[in-house]
Amino acid sequence: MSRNREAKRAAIVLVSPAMLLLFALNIFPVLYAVYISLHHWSLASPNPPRFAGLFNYQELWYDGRFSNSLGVSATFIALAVLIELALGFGLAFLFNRKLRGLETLRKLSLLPVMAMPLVVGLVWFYMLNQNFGVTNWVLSLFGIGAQPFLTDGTLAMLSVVLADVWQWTPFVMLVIFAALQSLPEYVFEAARMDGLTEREIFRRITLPLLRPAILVVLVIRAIDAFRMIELVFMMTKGGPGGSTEVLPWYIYTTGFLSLDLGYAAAMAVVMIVLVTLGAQVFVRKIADPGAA
Amino acid sequence: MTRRTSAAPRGALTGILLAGSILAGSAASAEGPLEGRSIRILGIGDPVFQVMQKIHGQMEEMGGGSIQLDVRPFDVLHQQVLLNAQNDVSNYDIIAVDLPQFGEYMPYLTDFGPMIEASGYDGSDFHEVAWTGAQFGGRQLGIPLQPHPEILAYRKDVFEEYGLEPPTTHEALLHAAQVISEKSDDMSGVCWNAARGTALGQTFITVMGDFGAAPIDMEKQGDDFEMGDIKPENMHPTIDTEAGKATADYLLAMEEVSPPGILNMAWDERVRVYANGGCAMTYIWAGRSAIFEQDDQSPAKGNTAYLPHPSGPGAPPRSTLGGWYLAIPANIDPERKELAWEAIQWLSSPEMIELYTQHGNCVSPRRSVSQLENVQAACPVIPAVDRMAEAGELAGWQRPPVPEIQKIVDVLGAEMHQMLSGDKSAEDALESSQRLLDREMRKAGYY
Repeated sequence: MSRNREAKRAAIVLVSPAMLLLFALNIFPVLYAVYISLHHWSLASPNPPRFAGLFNYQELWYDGRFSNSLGVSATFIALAVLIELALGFGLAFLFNRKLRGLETLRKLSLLPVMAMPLVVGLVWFYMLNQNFGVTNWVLSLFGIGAQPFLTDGTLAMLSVVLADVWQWTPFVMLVIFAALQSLPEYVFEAARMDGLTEREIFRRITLPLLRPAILVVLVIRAIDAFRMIELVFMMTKGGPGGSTEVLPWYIYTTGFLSLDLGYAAAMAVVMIVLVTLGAQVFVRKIADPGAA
Repeated sequence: MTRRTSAAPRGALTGILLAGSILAGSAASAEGPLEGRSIRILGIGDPVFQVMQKIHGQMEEMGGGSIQLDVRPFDVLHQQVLLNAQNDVSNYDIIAVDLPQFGEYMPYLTDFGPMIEASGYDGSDFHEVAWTGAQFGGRQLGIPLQPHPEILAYRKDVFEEYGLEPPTTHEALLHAAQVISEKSDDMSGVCWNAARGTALGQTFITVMGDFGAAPIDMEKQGDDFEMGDIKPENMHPTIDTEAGKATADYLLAMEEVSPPGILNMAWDERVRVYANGGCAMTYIWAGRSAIFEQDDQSPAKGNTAYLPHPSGPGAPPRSTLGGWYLAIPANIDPERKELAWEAIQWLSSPEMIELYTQHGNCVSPRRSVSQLENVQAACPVIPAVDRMAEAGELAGWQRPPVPEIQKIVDVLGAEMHQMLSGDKSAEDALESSQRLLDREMRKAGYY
């Protein structure tokens, strides 16, 4: 009995530093954001913050810009993550082949991941710029007129997606490539001996075995894409109109330009809730493949 | 052993010599307004502070002390000034303040009045509009360092070639831009800030000023508005008005004669496109003209003339005055206040203003510096701005110094971009801007 108690005490002592850190760095900021979101809190105002109850959350309901930014974020995540997954998948299979030169190419393909997103945004901004950009110059060589890559609603969204895909596809490729490398060879040999075709092997063996890796990369990329702000900051500032105004950009302009901390915190809390709920669905699927 | 004993006095001698040379050095470098002390400045990434960064070593030598210069982007500076104001003692001796921010920072700044009086400081060399721009409720809250207006730059040679008159009005500007866009293959009419957010929001309110109107209901004072005492009842937004509609229509008309990608164009990009010959006119913060005036490769160098913001029908020309002032935080350590004042007098002295112009900051708030031949040669915009100042064509009311100014700009920057993108009609954009700002003012408790 006393040994049990001692073990418990030891566990508490050993875990407590981690718990303290978790509370200080993760839980406290979230709780503080909730606290701020319940106040009229403007850094620009000389008046002290005052309690607002759920006012800021009610405002969100009527704020067209907020609902637009949620829609834009959803579109961006869907487009960027799906394209990255498809390309990453294809590249992983390509690099999994034992061909000469592919290993060097695989190493080189990882370079975009190492670049700072702000720099990536700036480079793409200049490449797609209608006045200085190299892209329109290249198009002109083929007799194609200048395209408004950053000033047409649809093209601007696709341009931001393109920059994100360029940077993060190698990451997806790397995760799936690592998973592919770890698949046991004997399973495939047995399947071939049983007379399964290559297509059947892919559908019935490779894909199910890769499922955890795919889900993990999906969660990581989806959360990351939901938080993406750098590309929008450098390339479009949320325009044209509000066609690339993702939620983090709207939160940033509200909190750090207009200095309306209460309202920005309310949006951030909603964002945290959405990310947590979304991530939970995937995490459950990873932990329990049979779960609905 | 012997070696060791002889090394000790040699080491001591070296130490004494070294200490002597350091003391001698610091005594020499102490000859200057800083007198061997250290000054802490919080600045902005605008030309004048960029010049200070460039010539930092030279300035420390001239000042006779060390200069800790923290240069921040606009929004980071804004947050840092407000957060610093909440400290018991300020972390900075001097802060940079943008003209429209005085309203917001008023409670957090030191009044220069008593210091000016005690030291007999003469502010009459500054342009009156620049000097009085930092006066609120009888208090002088800032000393001009880089105040400059947003004006219009145009290519004299191109206008002569097409037989066009200088674009002093909106109508003339649109006509000239139309002619040039049609006749020239690779040159558009006019470059301006149309990018979403702060850039377009500021364009809207400065153009609204061309119609003699301000974005909030301030009290008229002749052709201008009373800025020193803005009351809660003056905080009603005035966006959905005749002047607002005229502004929206003008922006839509300008969009037609602008270079490609105008909806993403802002700040220095408009100047660079103009500098490369991409457009015949550009709205420009005067100090930025160094980008082409000091570039031998630019076709705009020596071929540019400057005008105040072209005006709307029936309104006098008024260019928005903005730019940077030096101020002392109210929570400064009292023992450092005198040092801060000494440093500000030095940093804004005629010699230093002249030095900044020679390194790419084409702004002179001082008349005496504007008269210098070398200054006029490096920066032809300076005498042009001088003439505008003397003619009373510069004003700051277009961007009222109220805490909500950034919110006003942000809302207009988003709504008007929807209008220019074709997502909203002008009427809808004006109506929603008015409604959103009215909501903000109510939320802030003004009415």
